[in-house]
Amino acid sequence: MYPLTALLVVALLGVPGLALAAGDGSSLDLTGHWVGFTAIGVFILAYALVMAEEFTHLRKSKPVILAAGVIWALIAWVYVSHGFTHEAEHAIRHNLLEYAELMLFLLVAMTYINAMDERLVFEALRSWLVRKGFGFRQLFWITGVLAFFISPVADNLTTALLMCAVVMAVGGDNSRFVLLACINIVVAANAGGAFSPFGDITTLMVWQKNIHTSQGAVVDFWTFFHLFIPSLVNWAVPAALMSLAVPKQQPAGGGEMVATKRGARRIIALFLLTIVTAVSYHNFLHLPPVIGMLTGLAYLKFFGYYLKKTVHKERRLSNGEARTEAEHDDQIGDPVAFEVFNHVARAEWDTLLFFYGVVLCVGGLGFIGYLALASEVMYVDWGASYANIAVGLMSAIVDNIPVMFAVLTMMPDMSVGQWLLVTLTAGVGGSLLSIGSAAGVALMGQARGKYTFFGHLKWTPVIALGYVVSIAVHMWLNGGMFGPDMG
Amino acid sequence: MTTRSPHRRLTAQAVAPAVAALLTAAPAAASHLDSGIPATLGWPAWLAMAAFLIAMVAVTAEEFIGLRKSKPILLAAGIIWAIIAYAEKATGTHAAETAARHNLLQYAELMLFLLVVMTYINALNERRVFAALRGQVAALGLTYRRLFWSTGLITFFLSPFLDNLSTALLMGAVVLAVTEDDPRIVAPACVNVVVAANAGGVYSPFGDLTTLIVWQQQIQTPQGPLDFWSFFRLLLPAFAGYLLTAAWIQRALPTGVPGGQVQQAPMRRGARVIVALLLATIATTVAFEAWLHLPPVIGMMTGLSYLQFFGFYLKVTHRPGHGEDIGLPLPVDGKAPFDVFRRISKAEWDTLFFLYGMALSVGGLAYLGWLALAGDLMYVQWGPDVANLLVGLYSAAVENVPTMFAVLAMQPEMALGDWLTATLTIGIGGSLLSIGSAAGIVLMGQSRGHYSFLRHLRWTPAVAAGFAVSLATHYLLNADLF
Repeated sequence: MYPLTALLVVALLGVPGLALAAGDGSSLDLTGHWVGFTAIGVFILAYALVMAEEFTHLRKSKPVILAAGVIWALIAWVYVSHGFTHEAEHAIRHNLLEYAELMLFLLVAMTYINAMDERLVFEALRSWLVRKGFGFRQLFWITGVLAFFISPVADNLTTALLMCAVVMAVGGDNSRFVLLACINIVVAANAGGAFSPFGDITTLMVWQKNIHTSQGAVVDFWTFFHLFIPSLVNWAVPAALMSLAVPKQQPAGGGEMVATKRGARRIIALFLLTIVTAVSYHNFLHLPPVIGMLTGLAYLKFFGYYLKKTVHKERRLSNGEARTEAEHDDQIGDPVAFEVFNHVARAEWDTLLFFYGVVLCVGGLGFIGYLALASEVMYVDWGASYANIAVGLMSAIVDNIPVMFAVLTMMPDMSVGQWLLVTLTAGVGGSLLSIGSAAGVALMGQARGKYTFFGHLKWTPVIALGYVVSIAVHMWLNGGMFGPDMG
Repeated sequence: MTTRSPHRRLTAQAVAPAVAALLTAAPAAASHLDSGIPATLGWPAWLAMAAFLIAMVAVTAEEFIGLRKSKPILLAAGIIWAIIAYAEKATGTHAAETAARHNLLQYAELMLFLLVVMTYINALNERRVFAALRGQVAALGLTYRRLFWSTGLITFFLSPFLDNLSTALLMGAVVLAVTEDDPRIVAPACVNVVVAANAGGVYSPFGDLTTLIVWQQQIQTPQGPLDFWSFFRLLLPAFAGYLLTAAWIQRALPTGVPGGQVQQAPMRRGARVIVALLLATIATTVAFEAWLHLPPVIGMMTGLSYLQFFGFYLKVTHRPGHGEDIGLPLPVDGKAPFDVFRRISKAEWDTLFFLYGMALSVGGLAYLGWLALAGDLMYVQWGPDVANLLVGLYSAAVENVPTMFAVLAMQPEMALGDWLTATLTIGIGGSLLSIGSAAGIVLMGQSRGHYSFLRHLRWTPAVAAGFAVSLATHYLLNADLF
């Protein structure tokens, strides 16, 4: 067998692939090599194509997958030509694992959302909301508040997908509303996740590090709740400004009642049970949460089997309908199921493959040494406060997970207040651009053509205002936690 | 409780990076789980085994209860790891998490690889490549015997490029279309296709799931690495075995010319380019593995982007909104003109999740010490020859994926030749019974009863003779690898 041990230890200790660069000396610093510059060039080119998706109609997954292949081929070539045959392989396997966990997690969440959609859950919710007489503005606030408070419990990706499904069901034909509501959801989900280790992967990473600062303080689970008010401000400021632009209309569509199909409520219950399973697998059993998610998928699959076997209980169906229905029931639990949802399927694959490209591209740049270089320059030359604020801005462009990895690998000597600051900025900085957070990317797929990169960009100044205000609020409220090194 | 002490494990972690660096020269010795054989199997092991067995019963009974096989095994995987993690909790280590992640990685590489293969096959199907091929074979107006041989040989040489399931489906469709359900020919011709598909897949990681699984482990042996090209040592053994079986079966065929008609269908725009891109993808994958030492899946994913860019090109140069779907892993066009593959799209997800369940479940059992126990019994006490033969016979009745996962988890110390033997026996052992391979199972469903378990059983002696010949040829030709 190949020596996975080193990789596993690396994964275990929560150190990214680039730790190899610093660790055993058997790797190369390519930051000044032409391969490094080429890799950066390829990455920038790919990202430019991603941003231009709405004009070129080249799906965003395509350039990044190719870029990932090119970057790693270059890296591997240099390593092999220097006689290191396994270092690049280890590093890439580490990235692959990271991607696999994200992808399977997302696949299960999407499958549940598809199943709920097929059972008309969102359609029924829409008709209920419309019959209640909510206007777009009220809906804007309702979905935002829900996103903010669900995302600390579930993860922010699932939350965003769920809320976006509601938004699409209610106001799918009003592009302006969909855009604003989606931005609102992304900001709320990212902000809501920042103060809870369950809500955001970067917060989770800081928590798992079990940091002891040099002043003797500890960053533990409850410490993060000091970020609650700054996070709330981070969402509420842009939300208040954006809500002014939401059209003052009622959603279209008749007021007739839509009933959910058989089993809808049980599927919702199973979804909740799945989230509970994932959280417990992680929390009590210390297994990767994705294993809990996939176990939860089995619940849904068994329920689909049960529905198929008991389809005769549905009296209203004719014989032929029952047969179709049985076939549909059997397909519940397949990630991409019915022909009707083809447009969804396409967008979902695009999202999943995009993540592959991004994780591997950024992983490759990290392996070359750029992330370590950047964080070193920032923390040593600029000082902690500016560095932490810059980390947030950086995470708007590249994935925030590798950025946080780089920071944790460096382990700068900071006070609790600074650790909280970096947790906050890495968590909410991704809201600045639509491609800055997993939630944003997923929604770009789900609300394709309505929630776009440039649509989001128009509101970036407003979101940036929220970013600045939340940092100020954090420094003011939690000023006592910064200790003597605040500068 | 397993007997791994936290102390021992922590020490192992501390030295692992250094050790791993040393082991890059001879990774065969590196055990990823550093699992010794536990002195006793505790209650978690028995409980996990029970969960696995129950799931396997449900998997085997898929045909009768209509519960797709991914479902029970997915649940079993979750339960097994929950049991392990609960039992290990007292030790306070992250050993279980690490092991679970290792299995997850193993699965992820397999899954992404298969996803790309499926995507290409879907694209070829959508461009009517298979329909055109079917039409051309049928239009030749061959006699029964010639039809028999040509379908068999095409299957054998197509199967290493497509996977054996798709090849069997395609050629099965040819047979069924041309022979007009003539029972005298359908059953032997289907047996022929199944045997050829399994034999043809065995020497190529693109042809057979089990070969792929072995290849992705990048095993090192005293005789050299088990790399892409080493599997080609199995080409002649597999071919010899197939020829014998086919020659035996063809004596039962009637003479004359079948009367079935198949409509000719032209390929759609870009079909040939996609075939070329598939070859380019295979080349990329092999090159990435051989020269850059990157995992094969990276090459495959890069190859996927070729197809995606070509889909974009087709879209831009043609009616808007069409062709863009090429490059997506699952068929999006339910109204494909030639929908032999339609049933696959449902089966695909089932396969992918089944693989997940199997990788994790077998990994869990390995972690608990079961497979070290079995491996010690089979590969050390009985010797690799007997063990590999048994594994092959075993895979005739049971899914061969878990069998291969189990062999890998046992981590036997074997020569290159022995690894090839295991690959060969598991790959072609599945042909002995119709339920032994995915190809056989799918053809049973497709042939509307003309090809069944019992009809296949009638030819099992012929297949067994071919199995023996393959094995003998392998031992003879590749004696230097042992």
